Amino acid sequence: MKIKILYIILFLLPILVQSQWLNKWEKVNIAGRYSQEAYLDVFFLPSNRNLGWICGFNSQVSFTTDGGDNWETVRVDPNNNIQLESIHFTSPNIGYTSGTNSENSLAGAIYKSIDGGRTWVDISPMLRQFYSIWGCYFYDDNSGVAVAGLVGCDTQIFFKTTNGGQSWTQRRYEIRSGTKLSDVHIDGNTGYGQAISSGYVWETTDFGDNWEIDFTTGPIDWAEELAYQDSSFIIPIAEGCQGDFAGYGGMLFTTDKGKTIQSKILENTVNMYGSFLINKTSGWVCGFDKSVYFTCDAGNNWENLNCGIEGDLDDIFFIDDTTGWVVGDDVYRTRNVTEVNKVISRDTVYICRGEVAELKIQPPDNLPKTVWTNCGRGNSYYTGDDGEYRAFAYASPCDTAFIYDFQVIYYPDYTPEIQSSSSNYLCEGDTIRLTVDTFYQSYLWNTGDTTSYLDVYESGNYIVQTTSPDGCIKFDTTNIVFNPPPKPNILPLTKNNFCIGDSIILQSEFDHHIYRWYNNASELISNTKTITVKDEGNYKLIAESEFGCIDSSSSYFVSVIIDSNRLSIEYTITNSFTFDTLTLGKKTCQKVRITNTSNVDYQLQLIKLRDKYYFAAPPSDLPKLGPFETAEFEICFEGDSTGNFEDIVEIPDICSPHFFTVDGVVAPFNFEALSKCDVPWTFTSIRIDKKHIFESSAPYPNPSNSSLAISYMEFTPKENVQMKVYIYDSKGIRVGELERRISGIEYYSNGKLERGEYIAETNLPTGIYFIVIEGNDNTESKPIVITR
Amino acid sequence: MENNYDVIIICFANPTFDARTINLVKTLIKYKRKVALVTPDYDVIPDYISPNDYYKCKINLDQKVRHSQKEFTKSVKKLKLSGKFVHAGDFYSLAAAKFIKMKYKAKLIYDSREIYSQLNSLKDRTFARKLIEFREKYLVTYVDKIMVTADVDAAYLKKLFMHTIPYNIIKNLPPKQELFESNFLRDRFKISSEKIILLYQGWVLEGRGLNALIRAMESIDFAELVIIGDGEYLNSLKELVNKEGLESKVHFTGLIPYNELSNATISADIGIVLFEDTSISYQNALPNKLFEFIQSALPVITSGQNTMREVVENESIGLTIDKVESSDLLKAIQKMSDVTTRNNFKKNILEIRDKFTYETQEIEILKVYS
Repeated sequence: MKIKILYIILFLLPILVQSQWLNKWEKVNIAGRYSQEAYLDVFFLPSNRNLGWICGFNSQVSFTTDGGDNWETVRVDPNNNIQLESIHFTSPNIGYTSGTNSENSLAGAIYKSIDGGRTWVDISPMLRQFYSIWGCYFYDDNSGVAVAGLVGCDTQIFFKTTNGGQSWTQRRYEIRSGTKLSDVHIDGNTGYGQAISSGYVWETTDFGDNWEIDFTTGPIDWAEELAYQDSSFIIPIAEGCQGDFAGYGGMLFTTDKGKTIQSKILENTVNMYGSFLINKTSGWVCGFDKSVYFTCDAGNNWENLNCGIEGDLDDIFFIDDTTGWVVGDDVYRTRNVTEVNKVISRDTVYICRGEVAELKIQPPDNLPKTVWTNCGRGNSYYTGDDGEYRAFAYASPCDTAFIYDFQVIYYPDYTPEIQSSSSNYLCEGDTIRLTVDTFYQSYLWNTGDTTSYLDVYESGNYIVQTTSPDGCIKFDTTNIVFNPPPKPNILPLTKNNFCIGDSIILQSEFDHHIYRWYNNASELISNTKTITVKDEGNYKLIAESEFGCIDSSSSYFVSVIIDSNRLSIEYTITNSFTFDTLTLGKKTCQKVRITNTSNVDYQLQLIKLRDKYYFAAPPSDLPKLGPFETAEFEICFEGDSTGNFEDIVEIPDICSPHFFTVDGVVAPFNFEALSKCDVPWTFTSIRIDKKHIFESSAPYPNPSNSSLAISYMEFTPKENVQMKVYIYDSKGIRVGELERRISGIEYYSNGKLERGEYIAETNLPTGIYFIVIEGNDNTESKPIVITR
Repeated sequence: MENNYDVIIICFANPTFDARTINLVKTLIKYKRKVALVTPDYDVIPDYISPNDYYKCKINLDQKVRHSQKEFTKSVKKLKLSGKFVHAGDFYSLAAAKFIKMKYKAKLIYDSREIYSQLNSLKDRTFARKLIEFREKYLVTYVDKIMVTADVDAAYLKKLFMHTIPYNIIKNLPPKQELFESNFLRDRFKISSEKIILLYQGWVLEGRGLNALIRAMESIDFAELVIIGDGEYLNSLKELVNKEGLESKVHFTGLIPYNELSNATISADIGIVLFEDTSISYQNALPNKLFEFIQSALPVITSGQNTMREVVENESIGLTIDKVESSDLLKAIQKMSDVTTRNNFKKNILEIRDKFTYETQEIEILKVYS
């Protein structure tokens, strides 16, 4: 039995339109054919379909330069009868053919032509005595791989050259179960390639330097042709590692690299040798006994489309959808289907993109079978893709068929685009009109409106669905945001109802992009967040957000009273009240003078110290000053460490409070002594450490009627000390407890400083009581009068 | 072409109760698509589609699902429906949808609303799980687009199927709902106004935390629990309630048609959504009931799956529990019994509920069917 290697390069071909069905084959006369033994491989140059080559037994190569109408034949090696299994050209002039000496199966040979196949030189890798050569593939003019083997199925060899065959490297592999390489392909751009051997598909990722098994194809049967596209492979088989079992033949089809394989077994020694993959699910195989099988469903169904063919075949190749070649005992090419069949109708079907067209034919009853070029059967075919479609109605494949041609065309895509009447930012309360082109047949908005426009008042996603004049439905969407107004609000930072000559600070409660302040006369007076106002009247803030949304605050009435402060104090923030220097550990109190400069009585209000730590303010029972009367109050100062100390005193007045600074210096004290050796020592104090400090004011108001309180300041070191404040009556009986209300806490490295009040609501009868402050190790009491 | 529908929706679920199917059909009809709905014959007539376009297949539903499914597929084939799109509403409809795709070249949309091979009901049935996985992997090769409910499902299925089919995420969101006053549950079960109503709604199945929830009710006097829905676990729960003497605190309504459900939901005070981490399907759960509670402005207590936690905690609309256990549930319910807490969550829900409506997905649905 003859073992033939067939070869296909489908990778470089465009995907063929599937008009494979009902091809009729016609025999081609090969001029100069000196051997009547079979041709084994056929190849046409993808870049020039007029250039084709066929090779076969007895070193015979024929070539054509006019697309196969005329052929010339040469003998590649006059001295040897080479069974040329593979022929492949990388360019119009440069090509390679390979095979094995028919008289010595271990004499593999490869030849190179640089003149389009007219003359050939032997570039075989080594002395042709030790190995057989089967397929070869060159991914450029100089670089390629030839597959070879030693005796039988023992050792597999990949020969590689990168200099047009001047030298070769080789990589050998042995598979335990035995196999025999037949065909190879390498992508010159990526270096990825595959090869096939009996029962195995190999892969390389480095231009053929190294190979490994990619997947198995089943039993170790001779597989002479490599035809693949991505994960789809179509593989012809002949039983046995070298195909010489004279058993079954058949074909395999996988679309997932061998995970699942559709196989068709042909009995009676109908070996298959050649294959050609049209696309991932369609392809051909050919072989003995004029077998030319076609599948368009990934091998589920095969049909022998061999009309016009005689004898055995070995390789098949399609240049385009109407031009195919199959070679073997003779050479055949397809006849144009429209020449041998009858075109009945040509229809054009328009559909919207996304729709499905039904293509329907009505053949006469004597043509009961129908096949579509896309593998469909039956008189209707459904498709959602544009393009050309052809149906054949026939009685048997070799009879004349009726051809029905269809062209499916998409209607134009009129996709709507929602246009907005405003490109600016939108604000709540605005209206915007959304529009689309008006040529549509109908409109449907997600609001239910059916006009070409939509007036929008609310934020949201708006969808319009349009139906074109052709009835095609498309849609567009847009998101509309109406930004909220800025909602300005005026906050007074200082006291309203102030004395003439003073002012009030007004501030916008929130941050805005733009501020516009207007006075009573609607005059723009400021663009800042905060303004200072002296005049009485209504003030308004108009704010603008970053989106241009404008809103107005409600009016704020600034009230000015015609009055002036009553008190005169000789100190200010800059003109401070300074204590005499104090020695560490000592305490001093000094008096400050206040004068009522008005001619009416004035009740002094609570005098406050901002920090109240090193300085102590007077209690709350402050006197009422008569007209022009002067009074003094005492501020005490005590430092627990050396240095400068400062605080601010606030004294309320009719219009605005008086502020002045108090400051003092705590000086160290020195301690001098003599040591036992009469050496004098001097110590300087820096700080007095107190574990716990609790300072409180006198109870207030005093006298009190129902509520009473004391202010306190407490420094607590890390261990917690809980102070309790009780009310005792004059008999020493505890009659109540004051609740602690903290107004502020400051934390220091050695403890925390807390300020606040102890407060109680009481119904005690009129009398003298005592506020008793109890700590861990000391108790302090302060009298208070309650009157009813 | 016969029929010539725009979309043929095939679904194995009861069309009166299956929210996902109802919302999809309504949306497609809203956008003037000619829709056919095919389901097994549940002896119901859905009111949201013309009777002429509703096809019910008489099959035996009282047998193993796989047998019913085969009957359903055969029955659908006999209908000879054709259209541009065929939508398999679940795994059990996929074979029937595949037939229409192959026959009429319709584009096949597969709504993988669950990880079917990882359903909780299959957790101890390895063979059945593998069988479904194998079958699904095969059928998915015919699918043009896959719909899922969340990103995590898409990520899982991409790994499982190892394909490049495009995914569209259509969340289980309910339609926008107007808020209204309802005493539906309070009146039906005579629950006093002082008591809080805890609500579970959905399929009553094992793994939904209902055991723990009922046990938590033993220690609660300030609330009563209502369970809306049906399922294979319902009788077990009723037995538990009887055994523990909780009949006065735990009430069962059975199934309520989807179009009446909001009246019941809105009359509750707290919505509860629980999934035990017993299956991948549950681990990725983002059920429509969560969003139904949001539409009804109910603060929620949910289990802590990332999918739900992301919504509940990011939007601050309720509490999540780490473990579906009575003690955790009890703490959460007690915390939620504070009216201020509930009102704060409710305030947040009112701000975000527009984000979680089915209407927000209309554009995605149009993209799927174009």
